Amino acid sequence: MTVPAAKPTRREAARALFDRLPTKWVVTAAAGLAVLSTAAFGGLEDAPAQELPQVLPGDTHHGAQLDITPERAILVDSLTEEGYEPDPGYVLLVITAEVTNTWNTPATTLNGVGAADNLRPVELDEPLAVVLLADGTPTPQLQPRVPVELGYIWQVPVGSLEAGDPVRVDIYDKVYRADGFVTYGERFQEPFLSAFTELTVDLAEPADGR
Amino acid sequence: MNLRHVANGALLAVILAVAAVVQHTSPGDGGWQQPIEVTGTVGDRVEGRNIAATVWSAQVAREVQTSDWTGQTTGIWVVVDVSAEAVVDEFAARLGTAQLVIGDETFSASERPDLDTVYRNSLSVGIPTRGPLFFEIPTDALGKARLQLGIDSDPRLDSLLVIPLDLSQLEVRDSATANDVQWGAE
Repeated sequence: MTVPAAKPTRREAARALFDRLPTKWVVTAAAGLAVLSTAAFGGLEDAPAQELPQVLPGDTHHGAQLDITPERAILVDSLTEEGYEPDPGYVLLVITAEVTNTWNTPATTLNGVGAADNLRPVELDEPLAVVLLADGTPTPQLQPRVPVELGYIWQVPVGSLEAGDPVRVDIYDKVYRADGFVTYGERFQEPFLSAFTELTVDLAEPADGR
Repeated sequence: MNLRHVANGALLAVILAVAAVVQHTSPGDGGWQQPIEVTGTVGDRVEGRNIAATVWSAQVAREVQTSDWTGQTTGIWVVVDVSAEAVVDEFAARLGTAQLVIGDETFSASERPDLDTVYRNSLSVGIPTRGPLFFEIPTDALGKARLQLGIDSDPRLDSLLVIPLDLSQLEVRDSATANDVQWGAE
């Protein structure tokens, strides 16, 4: 004795239809719906290009490790007393900035690992030297929360810059890293462009030699 | 059979407890290469593996002077008079670590006085070098501090001499004059 197949109800018919639908179609439709719903709120529009913030001379750029206040750009023939002599056909460009180490251990000012990487006039490579303006100490350590005035020294060809010219200086920030596979301790590395400033070139006053 | 289940469970609990104790008492990632600290007091000779030092005094001043250098700062100076010597080996024996730890901040001795500080000076075995260490710190950091001295700039896995100093007890002077570095002075 067999029970005759009952006529499927509406719900059972819908279920049977859904079971026959390929999973790929369901997933694609869901993804499409998600995209459409974000598009309704502007999700497909171009992301606004982030404009690089400009730091005015005398204003402070707050970075992860260093607060940097760019101050002046000075052209000087040579800094013989401090031991910086440009190659023939070059003069020295000194960019001064007040720099404060806001981290809790001393920071170096060396090229490649320290604060020498945080300021770069556009089109120039790493500085010849970074000195403490107070007494000319080369590549000083920056102690936590003690602001110091630093001079970043580059050499530029004679005539490439004149008094009154604008100099665009890029300000870099760094990424905090701790420990690692073969490395030890905490450090700031991988400089990235974070802001820029525009300074006006001054000539050194002969009286103070800078 | 039931008893065996209970015994197994108890054994598992014991193993987990022992594992927890081992995990919580073994040195962490950086801990196993920490320097070995030797603690002393001002006026005492403190001796580690290859460094021995005596801290004679400390002063606080807004400006410091040596024979060749005047130090101005936006913070404040802590000047520590110290004599240091190597103990077993003069090779690469420099006073490369001289730090002041205050709270969670670490300050290194200033290199600004150049030759007028014992910081980074070569040390001799048995013949102490005496002179000043200068620390440039923010004015509000004057408090309980630890002076840390060691051979080489990386004191890990070697002796680190630790001398506690209470900077808040020291009179803040307008200016301080430091003695020259002397080799062979106790």
